[in-house]
Amino acid sequence: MLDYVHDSPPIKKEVLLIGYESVGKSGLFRKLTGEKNALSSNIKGSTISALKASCRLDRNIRLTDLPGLQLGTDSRSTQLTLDHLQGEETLLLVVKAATLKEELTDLQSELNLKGREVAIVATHRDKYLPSQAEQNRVRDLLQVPVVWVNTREMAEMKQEEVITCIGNAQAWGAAKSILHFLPSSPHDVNQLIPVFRVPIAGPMLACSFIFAMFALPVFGAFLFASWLEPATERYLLVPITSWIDHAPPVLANILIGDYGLITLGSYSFLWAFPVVILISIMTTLTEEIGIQEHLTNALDPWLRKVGLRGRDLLPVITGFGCNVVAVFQSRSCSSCTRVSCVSLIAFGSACSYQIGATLSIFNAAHAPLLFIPYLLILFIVGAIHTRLWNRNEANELVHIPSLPYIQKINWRAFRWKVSGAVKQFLVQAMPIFLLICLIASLLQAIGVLAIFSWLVMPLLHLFSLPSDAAPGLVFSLIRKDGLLVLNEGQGSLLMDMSVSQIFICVYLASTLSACLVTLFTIGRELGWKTSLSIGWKQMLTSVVSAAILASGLYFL
Amino acid sequence: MNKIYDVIIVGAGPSGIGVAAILQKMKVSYLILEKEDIGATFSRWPKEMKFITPSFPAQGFGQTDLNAVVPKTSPAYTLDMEHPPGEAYTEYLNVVANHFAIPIKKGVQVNRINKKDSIFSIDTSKGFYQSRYVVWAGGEYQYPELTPFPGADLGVHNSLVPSWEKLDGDDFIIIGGYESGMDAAYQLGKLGKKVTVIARTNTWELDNSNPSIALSVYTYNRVRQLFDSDLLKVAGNTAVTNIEEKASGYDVYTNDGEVYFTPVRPILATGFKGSTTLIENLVTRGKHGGVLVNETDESVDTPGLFLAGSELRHDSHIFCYIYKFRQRFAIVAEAIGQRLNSDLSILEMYKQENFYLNDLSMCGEMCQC
Ligand SMILES: Cc1cc2nc3c(=O)[nH]c(=O)nc-3n(C[C@H](O)[C@H](O)[C@H](O)COP(=O)(O)OP(=O)(O)OC[C@H]3O[C@@H](n4cnc5c(N)ncnc54)[C@H](O)[C@@H]3O)c2cc1C
Repeated sequence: MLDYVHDSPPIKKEVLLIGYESVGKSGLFRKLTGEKNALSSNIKGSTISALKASCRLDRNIRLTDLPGLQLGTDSRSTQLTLDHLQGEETLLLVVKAATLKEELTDLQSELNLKGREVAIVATHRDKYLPSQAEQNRVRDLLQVPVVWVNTREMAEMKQEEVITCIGNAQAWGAAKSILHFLPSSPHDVNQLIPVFRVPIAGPMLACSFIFAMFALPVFGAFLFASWLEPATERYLLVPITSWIDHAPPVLANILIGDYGLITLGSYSFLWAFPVVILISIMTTLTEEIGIQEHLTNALDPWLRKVGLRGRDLLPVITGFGCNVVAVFQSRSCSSCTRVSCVSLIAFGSACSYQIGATLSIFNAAHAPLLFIPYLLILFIVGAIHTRLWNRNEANELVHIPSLPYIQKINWRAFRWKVSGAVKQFLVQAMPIFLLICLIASLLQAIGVLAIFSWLVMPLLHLFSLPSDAAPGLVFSLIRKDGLLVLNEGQGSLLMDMSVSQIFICVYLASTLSACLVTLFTIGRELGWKTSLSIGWKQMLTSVVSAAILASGLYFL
Repeated sequence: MNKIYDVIIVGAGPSGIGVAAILQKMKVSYLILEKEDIGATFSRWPKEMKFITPSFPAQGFGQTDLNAVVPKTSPAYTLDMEHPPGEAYTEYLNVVANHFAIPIKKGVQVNRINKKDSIFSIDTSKGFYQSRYVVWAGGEYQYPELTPFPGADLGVHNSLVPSWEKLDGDDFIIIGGYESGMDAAYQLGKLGKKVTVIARTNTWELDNSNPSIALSVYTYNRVRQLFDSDLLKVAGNTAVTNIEEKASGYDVYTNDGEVYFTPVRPILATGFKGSTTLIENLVTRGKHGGVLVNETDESVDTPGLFLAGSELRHDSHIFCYIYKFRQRFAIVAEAIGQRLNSDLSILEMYKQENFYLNDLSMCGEMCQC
């Protein structure tokens, strides 16, 4: 009974960070623990799995950052947090200063806090700092320590304060009726940027904003690549090619043949790389500023028509960077729309590699403008696809989640995220693509490349595509930049195809299936059955929509 | 004494004053009968006892003070304290009673109430009063449970201790571990006295299978500090069976066979029977032991008799603190006002200020205090 008495050496204090999304939990975690890797493994304001680290200023306090909760939903990440709550750790509740009352009231009703050791950090004090009297009132009502901080600017002293606050954590006993007496929020809880609240114009604006988020980097990459391409061709590729020509034929074939490492690889570098970087910069910027949630929230009414909710679009946006990451992030979707969300990611989210590859091919075919209808069609068919296969209505949102504040960019976080994308390109994407080239060359050398055309024979027939297009189709199933293989023979294949054929071929290659890694991830996240079901439904939609497109195009 | 009041309120505590303030605005003819003085209960609190629920000069935050009985008033503001002691709170009640010019007959003790032909006749120490409706607001505190087990009369009930400081002795036994008992333990411990608390329920423990603490956090956090000293000992999950007087003090026997000795009278913090024991003839009690009432807090047995204050109970929903039971004052006043065709416009303000709780269905287990 009296085991409160302990003169034993200081025990490790386990502390769970609990709070709603985008309240600044992860920022706080980073500040207190100095963990740099917390940055890279944490996507889009929402921590998707638990991170643990000791406090920099007090090694005996170990923090666990849990995925942000969402009001009134039953998402996977919320569940993960709830699962963690079974233990006996101290809880550090993280809430926004301006919406302290609402958030605590919701936390109280969703979690079983009673009797738990609790301390509270109210974030964004730069946005709202209550008077001393009000702070006292909050502390006295709750009978637990509360500190007000700005996680972005936390000097050592402020950190000490938080540590002390954790150390003084008290048993939670506030009843719901007591929380009712907390000072009310100073303003509207849902602070959607005013322009986005305008009916019709608001969502339209959000839509064009999102479109611009991708169109701008793509256009930029296009300008850059088309400027650099002739120079590279002239000063790099031509000399190298003529030099390697003298090498033994097998080696020459591998390096500069139809599927040559250098000839095809250069496309990946020239086209995919700039797109990957620029898109990553754009998504990171918008994410850091906090505008993404506002955009998706503005689109909520429209998205509900396709069985999604506004916030489900966040992973879809991430999907334009990388689908795999997006599938992870969809954990934060409400579980009843998660499958719809994932199927939209798999179908409609062209990852940056795919975008780069597509751009390069349209450019090689001297029709770069094709990219615009390509992206539009992807969007539209993606929406129809989601609607058709997922008939369930998005459940009524009981709570309007409070949106993150628009804020300054944290350049450190920015650098981390972008350099992460670059690293991934260099150590993962490039090697795999080169491997693909190598395999293609080898298969070609031993004369079994035809096996590919045999694999996708029905498709080639149906859409009257040349059999040489088969490797491009097949490799794009493995990785989306496998599409680049269509550039084979220094563009000779593309020369032989009509613009319509190229368009259909690229469309098929991008939509027929998500890349293998994505499918694998979906399998692990949602079960293999779901993965297969998403896979074959997507294939069906892809073929049927391509057929409709083709009949239109070929007729023209 | 032939005047028939519309309403007679018994008791000038928070409940009586709170209900009266609404009736006053509804221009109902009513009277409060009070056996002593306004806020008599709080004058009897041990000198050191303070409010558990914090008071705030609240207007600034858009919520009325937790311990106020009338919207837009504030004990914290009136008294300039956050956890007022009993004596100070009495002052607040007086200010409110004066402000509303509430008619109170002091020194009138109600002994018995009967109802005949829809008129209540109220038998008091100063003769008979008559009314159409009765609001019972006699409270609990002045009706302690003095005989929970044999020999209990050898102890002293905590509600009868005027001040902990004045108690002689340095080694106390407190029987009961809820708010009163733990507050007593805290107060005595603070004075450097040894205390043993014998309690049936371990209210101070964080039980992980059932993560709840029965104590208010305010009290819990205060006594917790004492656990680290050797002044406080607790015998949990233990019920006292009887007390016997010895030459040098008292033996306290428990159900697990242990005997605890104390040289001074054991302190009974065994709770209250409540004032409704005086009107047993007009009520029936439910399984929970509380008076059975309908959805407007009217006795199911005796139409026209309403119950206000902490004895009120609706199934699992209890109203132990002022900020909870004050939300029912307007419900009672509304029910009476409707039958008397009074002006009910004042209720709008009560609704706005969260002094009006009519939907008890929502609350589930959250309604425990
Ligand atoms: C240790 C302890 C701590 C507490 N802390 C808090 C707290 O922090 N916050 C909170 O909100 N509540 C607290 N309470 C509860 C609070 O004291 C009661 O809820 C409150 O006193 C009830 O008000 P009431 O008007 O119903 O009854 P009372 O305050 O008891 O008033 C009843 C009045 O009726 C009079 N009366 C009684 N019988 C008769 C009769 N027969 N004839 C005429 N007059 C009669 C009495 O003299 C008295 O004036 C605490 C109680 C205890 C025991």
